[in-house]
Parts: sequence; structure tokens; C-alpha cells
Amino acid sequence: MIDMKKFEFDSIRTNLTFWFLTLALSPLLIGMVFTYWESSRAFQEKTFEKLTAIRDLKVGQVETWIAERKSDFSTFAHNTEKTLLNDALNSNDSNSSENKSKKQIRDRLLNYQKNYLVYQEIFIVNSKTGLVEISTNSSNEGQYKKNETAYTGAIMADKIFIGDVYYSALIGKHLLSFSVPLNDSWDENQKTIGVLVANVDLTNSLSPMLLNRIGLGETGETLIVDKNVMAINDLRWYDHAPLQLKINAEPAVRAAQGKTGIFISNDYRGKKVIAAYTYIPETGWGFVCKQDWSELSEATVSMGQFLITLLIISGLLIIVIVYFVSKTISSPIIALNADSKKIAAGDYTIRNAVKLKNELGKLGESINTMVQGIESKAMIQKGVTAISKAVIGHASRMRYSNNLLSYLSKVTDAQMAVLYSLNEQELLFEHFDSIGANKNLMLPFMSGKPEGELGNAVESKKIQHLQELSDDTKFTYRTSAGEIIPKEIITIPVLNNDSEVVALISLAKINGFSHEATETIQLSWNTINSSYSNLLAGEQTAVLAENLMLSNQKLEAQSEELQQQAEELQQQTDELQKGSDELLLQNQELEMQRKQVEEATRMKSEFLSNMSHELRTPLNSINALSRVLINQANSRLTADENEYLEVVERNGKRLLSLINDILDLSKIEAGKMELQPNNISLLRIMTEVAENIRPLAKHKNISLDLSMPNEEIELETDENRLNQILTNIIGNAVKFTDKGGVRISVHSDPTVAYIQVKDTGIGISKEMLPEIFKEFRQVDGSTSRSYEGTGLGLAIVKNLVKALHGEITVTSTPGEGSVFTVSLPLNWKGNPEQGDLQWMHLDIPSETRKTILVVDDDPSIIRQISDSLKESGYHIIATTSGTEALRLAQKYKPIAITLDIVMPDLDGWEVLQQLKTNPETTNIPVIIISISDEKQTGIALGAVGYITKPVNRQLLLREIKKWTTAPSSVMIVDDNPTDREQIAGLLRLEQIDVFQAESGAQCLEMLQYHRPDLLVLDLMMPEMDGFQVLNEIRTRPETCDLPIIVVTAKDLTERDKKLLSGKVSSVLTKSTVALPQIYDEIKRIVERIKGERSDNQDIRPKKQTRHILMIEDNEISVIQVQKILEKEGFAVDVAKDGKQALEFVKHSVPDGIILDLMMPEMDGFEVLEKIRGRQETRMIPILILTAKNLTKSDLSRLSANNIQQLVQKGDVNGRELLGKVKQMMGIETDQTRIVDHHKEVDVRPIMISGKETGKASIGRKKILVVEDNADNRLTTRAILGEQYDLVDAIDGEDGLEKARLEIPDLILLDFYLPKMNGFKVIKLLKENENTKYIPVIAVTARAMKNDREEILEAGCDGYVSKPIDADLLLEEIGKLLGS
Amino acid sequence: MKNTHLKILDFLKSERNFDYSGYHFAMLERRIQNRIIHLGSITPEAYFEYLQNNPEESTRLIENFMINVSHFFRDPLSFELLAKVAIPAIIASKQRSDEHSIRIWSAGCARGEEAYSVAMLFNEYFAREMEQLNLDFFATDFDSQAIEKAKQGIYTSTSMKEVKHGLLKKYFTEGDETYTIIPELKMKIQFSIYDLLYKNSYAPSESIFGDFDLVLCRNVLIYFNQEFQKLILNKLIKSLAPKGVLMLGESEVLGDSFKEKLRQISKYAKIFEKK
Repeated sequence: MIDMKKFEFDSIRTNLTFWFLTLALSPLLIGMVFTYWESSRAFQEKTFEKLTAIRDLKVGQVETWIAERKSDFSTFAHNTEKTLLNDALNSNDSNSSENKSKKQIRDRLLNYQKNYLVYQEIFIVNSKTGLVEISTNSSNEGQYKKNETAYTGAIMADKIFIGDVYYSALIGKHLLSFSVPLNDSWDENQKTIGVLVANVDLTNSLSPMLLNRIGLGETGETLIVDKNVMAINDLRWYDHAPLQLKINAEPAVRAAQGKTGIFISNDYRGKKVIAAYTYIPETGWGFVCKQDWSELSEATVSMGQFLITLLIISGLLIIVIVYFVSKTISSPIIALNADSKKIAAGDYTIRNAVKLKNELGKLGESINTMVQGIESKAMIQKGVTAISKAVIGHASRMRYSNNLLSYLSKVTDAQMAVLYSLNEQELLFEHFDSIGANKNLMLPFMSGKPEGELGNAVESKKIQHLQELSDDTKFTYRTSAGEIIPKEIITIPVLNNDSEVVALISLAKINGFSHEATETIQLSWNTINSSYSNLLAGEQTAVLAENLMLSNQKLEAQSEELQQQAEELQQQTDELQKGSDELLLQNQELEMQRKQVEEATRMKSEFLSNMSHELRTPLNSINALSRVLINQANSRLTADENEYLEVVERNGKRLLSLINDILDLSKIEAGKMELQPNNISLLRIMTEVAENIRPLAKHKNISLDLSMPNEEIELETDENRLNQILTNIIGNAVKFTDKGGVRISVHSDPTVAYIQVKDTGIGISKEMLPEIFKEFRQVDGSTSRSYEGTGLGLAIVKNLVKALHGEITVTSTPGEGSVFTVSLPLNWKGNPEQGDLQWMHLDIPSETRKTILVVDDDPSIIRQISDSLKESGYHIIATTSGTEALRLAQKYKPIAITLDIVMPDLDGWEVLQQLKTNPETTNIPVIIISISDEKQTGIALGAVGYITKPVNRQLLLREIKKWTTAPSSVMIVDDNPTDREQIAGLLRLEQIDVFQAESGAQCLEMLQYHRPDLLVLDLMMPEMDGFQVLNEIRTRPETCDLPIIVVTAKDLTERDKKLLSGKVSSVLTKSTVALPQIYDEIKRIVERIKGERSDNQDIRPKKQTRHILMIEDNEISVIQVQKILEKEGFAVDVAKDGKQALEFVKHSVPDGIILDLMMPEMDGFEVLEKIRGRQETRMIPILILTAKNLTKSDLSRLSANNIQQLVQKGDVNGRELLGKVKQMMGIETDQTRIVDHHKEVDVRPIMISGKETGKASIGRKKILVVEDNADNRLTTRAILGEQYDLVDAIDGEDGLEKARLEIPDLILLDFYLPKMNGFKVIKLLKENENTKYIPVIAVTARAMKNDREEILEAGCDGYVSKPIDADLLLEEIGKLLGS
Repeated sequence: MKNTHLKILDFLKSERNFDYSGYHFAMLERRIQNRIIHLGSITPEAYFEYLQNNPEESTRLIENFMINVSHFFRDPLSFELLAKVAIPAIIASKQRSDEHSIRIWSAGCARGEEAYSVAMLFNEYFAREMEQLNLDFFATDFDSQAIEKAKQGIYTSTSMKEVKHGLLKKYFTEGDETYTIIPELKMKIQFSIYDLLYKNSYAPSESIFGDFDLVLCRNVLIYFNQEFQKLILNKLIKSLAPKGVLMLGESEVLGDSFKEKLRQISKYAKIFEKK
């Protein structure tokens, strides 16, 4: 069975084509094959017949020929007379008769030969002798031939014998011999007497016959083979074939075997031939007649070609026809199929276009109808799905309704969609969300009996579809062409689980809803219901959850509150234990008062201290000059005049001593007294004091006794102060004693020394005793007359004793004398304050290589410096104590030290000196950071750098890096080549470039071309010595800061040292240190700093550093800003208050300023105005940084002062702050805004609102003068006309208009104006965006008490009263315009 | 009575610009009552009169509204997560960007327990990892008294219950029933007064700019209503640096609107990372 499935194709068209083709082509093919086969068979048959016929013909010819030869022979044999033969053969001797017979026979033979040319030779062999008796060739006669086949064959056969074909070499031909025995006719037995042999020349006989190939075409031939299948005749395709070629071909073999037939085979050439073969029995030959198959089949081939051509032509014709036929049939089916596929894929808009009248056409129509149905259903399904999707996954009802309405209106093509939700009270349906709804639809309506279209839906709880709406519906649709009344409305009641209407959705459409739309809505209804209900439930859950969370938080808060209350209760209990609340308050007040009093005292002392200094200077001149006058002019003056002078001098001296006392006292009270405790011998100091006062006692004629214990008392205290105390007490005792004497006694216990001074003076009354140590209290107001003195002595003493941690007591009896006892501790009790030092050691790093020691008494400065340095990757150790600093320096060997001068225990100078004298620390570079500028001292003592506070971080870093980085080139200046070369060799080993100069002049010349990193200088050189070289180097600007080490053999004198101080980094003396050690020293310096080099590649600022001055009192704020700016490569200088800032800008002009507004003493506004008041800083960009809530007047005050940026503290992030600073500086945002301080560059203010106040004007500013009085305008013009461009306005309205039009830089505003008064004008100015920042100066004759406040309150920036004071006006304007 | 309380609050609003609308009214009432009792159980009306006549009392009362209850390492798990997850992450990111300063803000620090706790954690981390980074640590509160207390750094044993022994020995000096923070820890933190409802800035003015790597605001929001909570949270988020960490109190919950801006790093604590 044929598997038909093999012939099924995907496409109907292929299928049709295939079968049509098969049907059409098969018979054609079969017919043709049959024709071909039949005709070729017939042809073969014909060929066979032809060949057989030719074969038979040829064989017949051969046989005829042989028969002819045979008959020739028998004729010859019979015709020859027997007698003759007998005679010729039987005669035993040669006699004549015999010869005659022979001759007769020979003639006859020759005759034959002549008649039949085929015979080559005819001869007779005599049987008796076996010799050739007679021959046509007489030369052969006598040859013995009895053994030859011709003879023997004939004898044996006893009839004609045909021999084999042979080649006669003698004559060069193929011969065939016929032989016949000759019988003795007389003998009864017919005894053979001889054999007649004839040799036939085949070449002339048989061969031509065979070679005749008529009927055999181009390739046919006949061939004869003998029994041995050797070719006998000449062959067409093989030269010299006869007897040479043995034929192996099948036909020849068969023929030789005696078979007859015809068949197709290969011939001797191996070529395909048709061969007819047979056997010639007479000779035993095989005969083959053959012709090449190719020749014979030629006709068949051409017929085949013809047939194929025919096949192709008819085949093509068939294909074309089949193609068109199958196309006609399949096209509509394919089209239907394709459409069906699209439909199946979901495209229901497809309608097929088959318009045929047949069944296919009908099928198309049916499909279209069917698809329409499906499309409608699909639309509905799609709509339903879309709505289902739209309602899921929403957390909020707003999103939900948004989505739902938009999908509903999309699905139904509605123009309007509204969702009303039932409110919480379930009384009203409120508009919740809508698309395209008008205002009417937004109104809520009662849930009970809603009117109109919506009512039915609520009532029936079914979807209502209203058609043909009446004109008065509230559902009207607003279009650009006016209100349109929709044709249809669908209202969907949204039901909850209890089938209550909880919401209504109305959809309105201008031209009616499609069937699908209504169907969709119907099908989605349940989904909407349940999703809406779920959402409502979800909302409720969320509300509950939130409530829960809030309750949780409230609970937490309450629990904290409770805890707080518990704590408060606890605190109250505690307070009750200590005393009542009130008491505590009183205590606090008392404490406060005490503090206030202390503060007042301190202030007073400070004041006095300052005063005294001021007073002392003139007094000194008075005293000195009066002395000069007394000495020089007394002879020229009268006694009275001299007296006056004495008085002047005396009183001057008294005043001076009084002032000195006051100074002392105030110093002590202000805590400014410096104490230097030392171990001193009490005996020595007592003796000294006593001896000093003894002359006075002597003068007064009283005794002065000093009794000391035997053992030495050593006291640790401040010697000078003790001296002062003792002098005072003993002096007093002597002063107030007129008779008797003063007795001083000393004794001690293990901890305290007591000094008692006992006099026999006037004594002190009991009441007065507590008063005597108070200032200006001598015992008696009148005593001061008789006893000189300021009345301050004892007060000073008391304070001094207290400062020395001792006590002073007094006992006295008036009229008898007093005893003063001073007790002092033997060991100094006042330890220097250590404070919170310990923490500083927390940061001690393991790695000392990059460690910097920071020494400062102020922890906040330490923090600031540390932070800066840490940012740059240094490790920091820090301390507030000088002694600690020495210890740390020794222990950690930091790479640099920053050192403050003012410190509690050991001042910076001392620390520096000790660092430099200690060989272990002498090479650490020390940078002094101090408030005062005493650079010379610092450098002289060995500091390498000096920075004044406030610390500029960039400067500090530069300074540190300068001294911690290895030099890459060193210049050695020395006249001694050996010394020079030794140092040079050493440095070269360290891979440092060395330049050598053998004289000062050469050095200076070389310095012009090359600046080394370090200069090693010898002092003693011929011609120009080291000092001169040094001076010259220092005066040149390019080398003034070149680090120099002096290496000298000179013993430096004080003068030398002074000459060197501040000019060189260090001095190494050859005389005190051995030369190799000096090299070691240099090497060590080089090595140490070299180690740092790799770490400090980024030392020098890559680009020009911009300096920013930050004016800010809050240190933490400073650090924050510094960090962010310095990271960006700005150099930040800091001023802690306005005073410092103004001081700063006096000597250095920064590129920009960051200003805090709230600062103590001088607030930011004032600082700003002062900065703007200076020519150099008038144009510097300023950024205001403030935590202040800026008022309107603040803003206008700022705007008047050309502020570039305003930043509220804490209201930016770092990037924004940086951006503002850059913007202020004109970096990246506007390159042209870079300020040149020397040229007049017009920097327009970026206003706080981001709006510029004025427009650019070159040089001159524009002022609007609003003034109604012409005279006044003239006056104003006279004052301002030279400096400013003036615009006049004659009344309020005019002024306002011109202000808006001209945008002046400043407005002078008269307040009494026609049409619109000044208050109104300023109000309107300030309301307008363009004019609100223009500074306004009020000019008015109103000079009542509150006018000024009122006017400023109104928004004016300045106030000038009439009549105008020209200078005042210019100043006021200048202040506001910053010129 | 309620009426009088309302009057009192209105008075505070007009006199001191104290916006009570964000607070839970019941709590304010309780605190007023507390103050009244403290002054000797006078009537609210009498107190109102007293309040009007004594400007000092307004300050007292407002301060009395502030609850300053906390203790060290309150919610140990949260602090553990801070120490083990958030702090290493912050420091790692600093190292990556080669910055040397870490910015921290404790917003509503009360008497400083929380700020000091965090400072200890950082210090411990530094000590352990041999780090040297600057801490720019700002701690603020509206209550000036609380800030004073924080600066003093003296605490009683009730605050110490969660402090580990090692930390106690290392960072406190013990006195009679008191524990005082050692000066070096005190120095690390800048305490200042700052009103979280201040409209002109979103970060304390001392800090100049926001960019905080860590902001702590624990048990502050609970005193405010939702609206104010949002206001404050927005400020806090604004003040955070990108990827900065915000730590809230345990009962404080982020509204949905904040979940776009913050990612909770652990479900066990209210620690968030700015997205």
C-alpha cells in the first residue's frame, strides 16, 4: 500500500500542484518510455536480422569459394589421365616417357595456375618417394613433403583435405593448402600413388571477399578464426592480424566451438558490438559478423533525445496550466485560512474578502459572521479583564477610582465618568472622583432618595441604562463648542457584601453605548462590587492599624512621661532633703551675685591696671622734669618757686607710688600677678629686708631687731613677692613707731614658717582692725596727713600673702603697738593647673613617622589644628602642657612640633629652648603658633616657622611640609674646597644634587639661575663673608625664604648671633663639634626629611589658591566650613570676631569672605558695613552665613552692602554650600566675575532673591531724587551731582514710576510729597520685586522723636533730616552704596 | 478646665511662638497639670494668671513639656546592630572615598545618653580597628536644661542599666551614686539647642550643612502628631548624606511615603539607609 501521507503537503496549493502534475505527467512518461523501449527492441531485432543475413551471406560465399576450390581439385584430379600420372609417378627411373608425362602434367598444372590466379603453387607429391614430383614452381620439385599436413591429411582423409592457414615466409603470404590423394587407376585397390597439393593465396582470394563490408556500416566487419581462434583474415581494427591475433572475444570463441547465434557482446577490442557467429564445418573455421553497438544504437539515441525534448516541452506546458488551475482553487482557501489564523490569534477585526458565488464564498461569509460574534464577545471579555485588572492591587481608594474610571470610560468610550461614594455617615453620596464631569456632578446628594438618573440605581440596586436623556439632566458635557447633552447614561450601583449601595458610578456617552459596553459593564459589576468592598475593608483595616500605631506611640510617650514624672518626683524628694526649692533659688541668686561682685572687682582691677599704665607715663615725665628744674634752675628761681618745684616733685612721687600700689593691687586682684616659686633662704631675705629699712629706723631713732632661729629655714616661694610683703610690714611698723622699736622674729614648724613683726607704735583700735587690710583705709582718716602712705600697703600685703598661700594676722593695742604675723607654707602649694590634659594622649599612634606634636594651652585650638592636620593624613599627639610637650617630643620624635607660647606651666620660649638644647629633639622643626607676632624671637631661638593666630590651615600645612620634605638640591658655599667636597660627597650619596660655590659672589651669581632647596653656608670667606651673603640673599625677593644652614668655624659673638637671628635655619659650629659630626648632622637632617618626601608629593598647591576669610565666632562652625572648603583647595583664614576680621583685612585682602551675622560685640551687619567701607574690600565677594531669622530690614541692609550669597546655617548640604561659595567667587559659573582689587570692576550683587537690583553702569551710580521742592532738588544736585548720576522725580507717583523704570542704585525720598506720601511710596517700592532691594534714604524735615524709628520701620535704609548736611548725606549714601 | 488649658497653650503660642498643634493634647494637659501641682496645687485659672505675670514660668512650662527620659544603649539590640552593621558600613564608605570626617547628628538628644552611647561605639570601633577619623558629632535638643545636663554628663545608676562593664569603666568616672562621662568623650560631641520644627533650616546651625552620615532621632516623633512627624522626618532625611543612616525609636513607624526614600537595613531595629 502506498503511504499517501508522504504526499500530503502543508499547503493546499502545493498539494494541488503535486497531484495535478502527477496526473498529467505520468501517462506522458509511461507512453514515451514504452515507445522508446518498443522501438529500440524492434531496432535490435532488425539489426540481428541484418547481421545474421550478412553472416549467412558471407559464410555462403566462403563455402562457395571452398566448394569451387574443391571442385577445381577434383576436376583436376579426374581430368588428369591416369596413365600420365602413373607414368609420371610410378616410373622408377627417369626416362623419357616419364619425363614426357611429367612435362604434360606440369603444363596442365601451370595452365590451371594461369586460369585461377588464387593458386600460388600446385604440386604433386609422389607417395613412393615422398618427394615433389611435379610443381608449378619447378624449383620446388624434389623437395620432401611426405611429412607435411597437406600430404598426411589428404592420405588420411582419402579425399580433399583442407589444411590450416599458414604463413609462408618464403613468399610472405598467408596460404591455405588444398590436397587430394591421387589413386592408381589401375590398381584394384585404388592405391594412392601421390597427393596433389595446391597452395591458395588467401590474400587474393578469400580476403577481398571477406573485406567487402557492404551492409556493415562504418564499424561492421567479418572475421574468421581457425580452430584455435586465431584470426585468419585481415581485420579492420588490427593490423597483421592473420595468425597473429588470438581472439578471446566471446563470439569468436563460440564460433570456433562450432556454435551459431547472435548476441551482444564485446569484441576483441573490448568494444560493445552485436555479433552474429557461425561455424564453417568444411574448414573448421568460426565465422563472426559484427557491428559496433554504438553505431547501431545511434538511431535509438536520437529517438530518445527527441522523446525527452517532447517531454520537456509538454511538461512545461502542463506545469503552467497546473499552476494557474491550482492557484484559482487554492487562493480563496488560503486567504480564508490566513484570516482564520489571525482570528484565532485574537484579531477579531479581520473580515475575509472572498467574494465568490460558490461554496467557498458562502464559507467566507459564514466565517465573517462568526468572527463578528467572537469579536464582540472578545471585546467584552477584554473590557471585563481590563476592568478586573484596573481594580486590583490598589492601596488607596483614590488610585483605585482613578484607574477604574479611566478604564471604564476607555472600555465603554464614555465621555464622562463619575464615582460617588457613600460618606461615613451613610447619608450622602459624595463626589469622589470623576473624568470629564461638570460642576453639577460634583455636588453631593442624599443617599435616601437620590433624584434623577441616579435614583433608580440606588433603589433597584441594578445597573441602569438610560437612553434618550432629557435636556434637563445634570449630566452635561462641556466642550469647546458648548454644553452637550449625552445621549445615554449607565449608572452602576456598587454594592457591598450586604448588598448595600456604597458607591455609584455613572458613565455618560454623547452618542450611545455599544452593546459590548453594556455587556462589559454587566459582567464587570461583580468584580467592581467585590473589589470596592475589599478596598473599603482594607481602608478600615489601615485606619485601625494606624490608630494602633498611634496608640502605641502615645503609650510609649506616656510611659516616658511617667518615667519623667517619676524622675521628677525623685528629684523633688532629693531637693526637699537638701532644703526647699526657694532656698536653692536664693543660693543660686547669692552665687550669682557673688559672681557678679567678683566680676565687678575683676573689671575694676583691670580698669585700674590700664589706667595706672596710662598715668605713669606722664607722671614719670613730670617727675623727671621737675627734678631737672630743681637741679638746673634753682639758682635762678626764688625760694618760693623752688619750694613749688619741690612740692611738685614730692607730690609727683607720691602719686607715682600710689599708682604703683594701685597697679600692684589690681594686678593681684585680676590674677595677673606672675609667681615664680624658688627655694630661698629665709635668713638671707630677712636680713636683706631688715638692712634696707634699718636706715629709716636709725633716722627715727628707734631700734630694729631681727632674731632668727639657729637652723636654716628654707622656703619655697616667690622671693620678690615675699620681699615686698616683708618690706611693707616692717616698713609700716617703723613708720608708725615713734619710740621704742620694732622686733622681728622668725620660727617654723615642719610645714609653715612664721614671721612676726612687733612694734611699739600707735596701735590700732579693735574696731579698725578688720578694716586695715582694705584699700585706702589707714586707721585714721587723719593719720594719712602725719604718716605718708597710700593706704594700699596692707591691702597689697594681704593679697600677696594670699597669693603665696600664706596668712597674715594682726593683734594690736592702741597706744602700745601691734603684732603682725605672716605664716607661709614651706612647700609651694600652687601647682600649675593641669586641667584636662590626659585625654590628649589618647591618639598616640604606633607609627611615629608622620606624627606631629601639637602644643597649645587651649584645647579648642588643639582640636582645630589636629582636625586640619588629620585631614591631611598626619597623626597627631597633643598636649596643653609645656613639660609634657618636652616629654612627648623626646619619646615620640615627631616630624614637627607646633608650639604655643602662652602656656600655664612652662612657656613656649622655654619649651623651644629646651627642645633645642636636647640633642635628641634639636632637629625637630618647631613651628610657633602664637597670638603675638614675635617672629624674630622665635627664629632666634631656633623655630623654623612662625604663624600668628588665628591659624590659617593652608599656611600651617605649607609650613609643616616645607620642613618635613627633603631637599632635592643643596648648594654649598665654602672657600675651603676640602670641606666643601666632603659635604658634597655625603649629600651625593643621598641622591641629592649638589651645587658648589667657592665664594659669596659666585653663590649669589649661581642663585640667579638656580634656587636650591637648601643652602649650606660658611661664614668666614674672603672678600664677601657669610653675613654679607646672607643679607644679600635675604634682600632678594626670590631667595628671601630660602632655608639656610650655617656651618662655621667662627666663635660666634653676641653680635654675630644677632646678625644671624631670624635669617638662618640652624647654625652648626665647627669649633664645638667635630667635623664628621657635622656631616652626620646634615646627613641626619637630610635623611629624616627625605623619608617624608614620598608621602608629601602633594605639598604645593597645584593652582593659585583662593583665600577666603571666614568671620565666625563659633569654632565648630568654622571647622565644618573649613573642612569642606579646604578639601576643594581654598585657603581659609579665620577671624573670631569683627575686630579680628577688620584687623585682618587691613593687612591682607582675601578673595572672598564668609561672614556670620550673629557675633558678640560687633555684629555681622556692622562688620559688613565696615568692610564695605574700605576701598580695598569694597568689591570682595561676600557670603553671609547665618542662623538668624532675617527680617525685612536685615535683608535690605544686606542688599545695600552688595552681598553675593546668603546661606542659612543648617539649610544646605556640603555640595550646595561649596556651590554657593564658588558661585560667589565666580568660579565655574561666571569667569568674568573674578574680582580685581585694584581696578574698578563692577561686581553686580547677586541679590538674596536671586534678582539683581540695578542694571550695570560704568563707574557712576544712579540716584533717584524724589523731592517736590525745586530749591531742594538744586541743593541735592549741587551736593551729589559730581559723584552720581541723578534722576529727579517731583512727586510720589512720579518717583515710584521712575524707580520702576530706571531701577536706580539708590533713592533719596522726601517724605512730604504731593499725590503720594513717602510712606506709601516706600511701601509700594518694597512690594515690587524689581525695586524692593533698592536702598532708600529718607530725607525729611520731620525730626520729632519717633520719626526716625517710624521711617526706618517703614523700610528705609537710611535717614537724613533737613536741612541737609552735605557731608552727612554723602556719608550715608556712601555707606549704602559701598563707596 | 480644658478651656483654661487651651488658653494657656494659646498664651504660649502668642508669647513664645510655641506651636502646640503638633503635640498630643492630652499629654500637654497632663504636663500643665503636673506643673500646677508642682507649684502647690492651685487652680488652673490661678496658674494661668501666674503664668501671665511671670515670664519665667512660660519657659518653665515649655521645658516641662519636654520629656527627657532615656538611658544609655536604650534598645540594646538596635545599638548592637548599629555597632556591628551600620558603623562599619559608614566607616568603610569613608575609607573608600578617602574622607576623614564622619558627621553625626543626634536630634532630640535629651540629656545626651544616646549621643554618648553612639560616641562610645565609634570610639570602640576606632580603638579596635586602629582608625583615625574625626567625628563631627552634633547633638541637639529643644530643651536648654536638658542640653546643660548633657554637657555636664552626670548620670545616675538608672541610666546605666544597659552599659557594659568595660564601657562603664572606660568612659565614666564613678562618684557617689553618680557616673560622669570622661572629658575626652564629652569633647567629641557638640551639644546645642535646636528646634526640630524650626523652619529656616533642616540641620543644626553649628553643623552649617547637613550631609550627615548618621542621624539619630529616637522617641522624639512619638510626641508629635502625624503631620509634624512627617515634617520632622522630611528634615531628617534631607539632612542625611546619600546612603546616610537614620535611626528611629522602636515604636516609631515610617509612613508609606518615606519608604521610597529610606530602606530599613534590619527588620529587628528601626535603622534605615537613605536611598
